[in-house]
Amino acid sequence: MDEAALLSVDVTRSSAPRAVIAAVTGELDFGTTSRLVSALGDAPAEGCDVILDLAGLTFCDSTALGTLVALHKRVAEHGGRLFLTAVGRPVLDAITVTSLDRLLRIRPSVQAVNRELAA
Amino acid sequence: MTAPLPTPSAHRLIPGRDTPDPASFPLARLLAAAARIRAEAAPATSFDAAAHAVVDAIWTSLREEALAPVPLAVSLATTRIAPSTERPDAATRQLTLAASRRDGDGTAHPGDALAAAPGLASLVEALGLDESAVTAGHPLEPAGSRIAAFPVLAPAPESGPVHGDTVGIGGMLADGELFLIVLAVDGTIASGAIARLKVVAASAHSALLRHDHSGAGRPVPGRFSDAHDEHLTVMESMLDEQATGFRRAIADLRAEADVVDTLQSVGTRLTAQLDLDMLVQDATDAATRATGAQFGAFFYNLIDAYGESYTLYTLSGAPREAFERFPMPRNTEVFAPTFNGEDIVRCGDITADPRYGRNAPYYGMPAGHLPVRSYLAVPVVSPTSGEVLGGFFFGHPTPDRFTARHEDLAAGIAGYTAISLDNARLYQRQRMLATELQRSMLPDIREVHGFEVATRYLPAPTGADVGGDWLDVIDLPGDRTAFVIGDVMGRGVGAAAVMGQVRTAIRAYAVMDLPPAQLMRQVDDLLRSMPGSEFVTCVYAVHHPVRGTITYANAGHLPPIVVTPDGRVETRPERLGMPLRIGDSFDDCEFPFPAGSTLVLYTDGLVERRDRSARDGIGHLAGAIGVAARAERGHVAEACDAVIETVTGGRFDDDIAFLFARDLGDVRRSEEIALGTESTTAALARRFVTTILTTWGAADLIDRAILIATELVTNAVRHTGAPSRLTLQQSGARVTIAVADQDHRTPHRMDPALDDERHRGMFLVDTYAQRWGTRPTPTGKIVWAELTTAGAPVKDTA
Repeated sequence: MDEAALLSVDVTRSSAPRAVIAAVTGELDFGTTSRLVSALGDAPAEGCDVILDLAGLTFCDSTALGTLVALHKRVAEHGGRLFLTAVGRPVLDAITVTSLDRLLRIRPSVQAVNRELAA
Repeated sequence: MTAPLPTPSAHRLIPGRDTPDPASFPLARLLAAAARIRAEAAPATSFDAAAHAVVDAIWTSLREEALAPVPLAVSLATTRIAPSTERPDAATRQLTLAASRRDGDGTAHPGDALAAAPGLASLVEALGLDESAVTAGHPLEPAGSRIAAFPVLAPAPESGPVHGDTVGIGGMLADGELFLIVLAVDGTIASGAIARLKVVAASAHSALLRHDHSGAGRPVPGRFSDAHDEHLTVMESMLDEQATGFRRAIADLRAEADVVDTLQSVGTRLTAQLDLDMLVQDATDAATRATGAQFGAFFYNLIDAYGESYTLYTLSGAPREAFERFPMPRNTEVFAPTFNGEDIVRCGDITADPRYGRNAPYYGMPAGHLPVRSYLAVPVVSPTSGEVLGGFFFGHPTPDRFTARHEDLAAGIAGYTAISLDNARLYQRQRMLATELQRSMLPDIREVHGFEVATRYLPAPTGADVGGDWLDVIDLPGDRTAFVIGDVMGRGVGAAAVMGQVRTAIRAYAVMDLPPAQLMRQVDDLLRSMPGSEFVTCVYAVHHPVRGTITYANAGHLPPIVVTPDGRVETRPERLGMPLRIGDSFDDCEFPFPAGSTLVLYTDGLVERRDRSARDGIGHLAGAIGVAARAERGHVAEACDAVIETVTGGRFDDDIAFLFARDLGDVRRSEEIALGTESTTAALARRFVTTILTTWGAADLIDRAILIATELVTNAVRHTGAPSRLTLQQSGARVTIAVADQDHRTPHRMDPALDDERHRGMFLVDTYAQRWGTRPTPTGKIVWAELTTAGAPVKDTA
């Protein structure tokens, strides 16, 4: 099975507001989280906000949840904020039962985040 | 207050003053003496000779029989008129000794006449004579009877060797003079016996009358026949009095015997009664009958589960409706002695009692109460604790119905009731304790996956002791189920405690997933390390649904019975093995158990009876079980009751534990996949799970199942770096996800901090699965998790 077929991450940057948007499509697990981390590159350390658009994410295991926590901490460390948007049902369930909805910023859509950042 | 004795007071059986004392001069003995007096005095040729004969006869006949009291001295004296020494024109009466016998030489003693002197006054009084006429030597005319018997004041010690009572008998002679016989004995003479001595007096009288006392010639015939008449009258009245006395005595003794009989039979019945409700009713009925009351009630105190005291009552002779509308009697002055256990209250007319009618609101009996005049109330007090257990109340609409005898009876029955209540309460407490202990140790088997199970535990109908039988059903991973039955030899709390420990131990070893024989060895080791010597028989059988088999070990227990889906009934007696704590080798056996089969386990109480061997019993059971195995779904419980009824006929001597498990014949299938260590392994596992669950009609489980499978596979890859195997298994609605790996370390659920970057794996499994667990394998372990599908499983078409 091809790893690339399991997960694709499409990263774009917006200048105003200053943010990195990553559209995550596929399945996040022990075998694929490293691909997300490398796709984001240094963005989390740049002090800008990071938006993960999870509309295309179909699966997320405990390893991936741990990666999201690490990402959240790293972004915050550099003065930015991590947003998750358009989280699908199975992924949201995993986030909720582990209480991570209290830590992570979950928004309905990228647009909603943009409005929030512009305000 | 002490408990009333259950026997009538002893003094009532000892005759009092009004009853004849057969031990002191019985009438028969005195009649014999009388006959002897007349016979021996008849040939006498003079008054003096007759007097001697009379004394000898009394002496001999009363001493002859070895009966107390024994005469110590008998003397006969007569009065004579003599000229006065002071006044020649006047006369005086003197008492002269005519004959005497006494202990020792048997001759007259100068003191004997003196000893008789005090008796003369009594004789004079008894005959109703004028004392001055006696002293003055005037002729005497008796007012009534010519003979008498009377007690004589004990003479002073110096007057003779006399140690006991003295009695006098005497009468008037033909010449108008008096004769006096003084009899001293070595013991006491009952007053009733003194009256009886008139028989001797009459006999002596007629013997003496035959001879001339005056010395003037022939005896006066008229006086002689009068004496005979009197003799007969005395005899008749004596006999009549005696007969009446005896009749009364017989009636009294019979009544006493009735009391004893009643108490004896009531007591025997009550003390054998352990059922509290029956006991109190029986006691009330018996006491009401025995007292002749119109109605009787027994109020008794019980303690409820919360330790609160409450009062109930039973009635006899009156319907319950007669009292239902009235409140419970309160501790008023009338009732207090009973409710406080102080005393019996017996009252000829309770409405006239000063304690009666002093309390609001009724001031006496409430309107509509059964009329009560005669009233008897007896407290019932525990002989062991002194606690007031209750009180009997008896009533009758007419006054003065209750006698001392009724009181005795009621007190006696109350005494027995107290003992019986104590026993019944103790028995109940012990039985409750035993049953409670047992219930707390027996499992609550509600639902067993893939089976329809019915279990029964029937304690032996007699005896309070708890048995050591138990049964258990343990859900094992991989859809397997362990069925357990066992019996700790012996009874009582000790056996029950061993049972509880063995049961718990088996549960613990079962969770460790030990094979049956190994489990038996572990339990055996454990038993040997425990104090006591109870040995234990046990069957431990594990059902493997996918293989369609049962693997079991039998430690000396009765053989399992299996009914195959086509209705064949088979016992599995092979390799019975030795009981635990006796044997030391246990073997695993296996038999096929295709879907739809039935397993039956039982203890000896079901098949063994005093009048039937276990072998015959098992035959009966095997015959009856085929029907139950065909019972409609949802009706196995009733079918099992029918089996027990058929096999025991409703009679069993020992506890019965019975386990019936019918396989529902659910769809059972399993699929597995070998996994490597690549980064795509978990994704591969998810594809596999999704495909299989879709095929199995359990698509609703996919989201949770792929997360669980991912976590389990990830753990295997991450911790062992070695290939693993994922198995999916379905049994009815239940789906099991199992991952076997090469590592012996077992995973645990953690509760990670919110910003923890790891440790959420088993937390997620624990949250998503119905249950999960691990079991060791020879090369590592299996971690498994179960889910239940909401959708109906599609039939296996393979």
